[in-house]
Amino acid sequence: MTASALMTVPAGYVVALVDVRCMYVSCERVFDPSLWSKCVVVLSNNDGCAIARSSEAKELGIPLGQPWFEIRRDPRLRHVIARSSNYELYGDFSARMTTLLRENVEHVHEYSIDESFILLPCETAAAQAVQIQHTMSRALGGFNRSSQHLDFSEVCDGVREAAIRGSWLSGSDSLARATDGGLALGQGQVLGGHCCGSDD
Amino acid sequence: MAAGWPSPADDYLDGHIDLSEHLIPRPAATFLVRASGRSMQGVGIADGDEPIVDRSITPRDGQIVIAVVDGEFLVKTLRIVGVPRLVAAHPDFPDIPITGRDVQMWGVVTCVLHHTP
Repeated sequence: MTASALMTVPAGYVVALVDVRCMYVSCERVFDPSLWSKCVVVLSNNDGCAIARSSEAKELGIPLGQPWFEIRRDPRLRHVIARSSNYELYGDFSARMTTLLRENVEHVHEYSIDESFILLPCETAAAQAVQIQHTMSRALGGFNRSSQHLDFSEVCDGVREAAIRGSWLSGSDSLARATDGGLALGQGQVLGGHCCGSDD
Repeated sequence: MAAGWPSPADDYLDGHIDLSEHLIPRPAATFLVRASGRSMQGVGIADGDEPIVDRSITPRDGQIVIAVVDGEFLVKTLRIVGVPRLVAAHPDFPDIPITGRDVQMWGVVTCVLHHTP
C-alpha cells in the first residue's frame, strides 16, 4: 500500500464498506438458478479447496479452505454442489461493481475483488447505502431468497448512535486493521453493509 | 515539409461508429446472452440470436424480458396489463402466468443481434 493510497476521512463524511456476500458463489448464481438456496462451494485452482461458500454451506460447518477431497467423501456433505473457480467471471463482476459505485459515489477505494471503501456524507449515508445496495442488486443480481438479509436500518441507526457518543462500532477496529493503513479512519465512524449477494 | 494536399475531410472527421457506444448505454449492467428455440420468432428473435440485456431497466408492460421461471431462463414479452403473464411470439407456446409461481425478472432485452446466414 503506497503513501498515495492513504486517505483521510474528511469532516462530515463516513466510511462505508461495500462488500459482496460470498462473492464467487454469488457470481455463479447469477447465471445458474439451480444454485439458488443450495449448499454451494467454489473451489480454488485445480479444485483444491473451498475458497467460497454459500450461507447454506457455511451453516453446514464447511470452513474456508477445506480441501475438496474431504468435502466430497463426507457422507453428510453429499448434497454440496461444487464449482471450479472462474476468475474471468469474478473479475468481470468486480469491474462492473466498481463502475456502478463510481457512478453513484465520488470517492471509491477498491480494496479487494469484492470489497470497496467509499465515502458518504453523514446526513445521507444511510439512504445512499440502501440506494447503492438496490442499484447493485438490480444491475448485477441479488435475489434475496431468505430472511437473513442484513437490515440496513439497524446498521444505519447504530452508526448515528456511535457518532453521537463518539464511540466505535463493534468490529470497526478489525476494519481499521484490514485496511493495512490504506485508510485513516480519523472520524471513527464506520457504516457497514452488504450488497449484491444472491440468496440472503 | 509536407507535400500534397490536406484532406478536406480532416476538419469533419468524427471517428468511427463505436458499436458498444451505440448499442450499450450502460455497460456495467449489460450482458450478452444467446437465445435458443423458436418461441419468440414472431418478434424477430431466432434460435441462436444474441439479445443484449440491460439489467438496470425496470421492466414495463410490452417489453421483452429475460425471466427466470421455476429456475429456468426464458425470453418472453412481459404483460402486466390485465393478468400478469409472459407471452411468447409463436402459436405453439402458451402464455405463462406470473402470479403464484417462482418468477424473477432478470433483465430487459434492448437489442437483438441476428447474424445472417
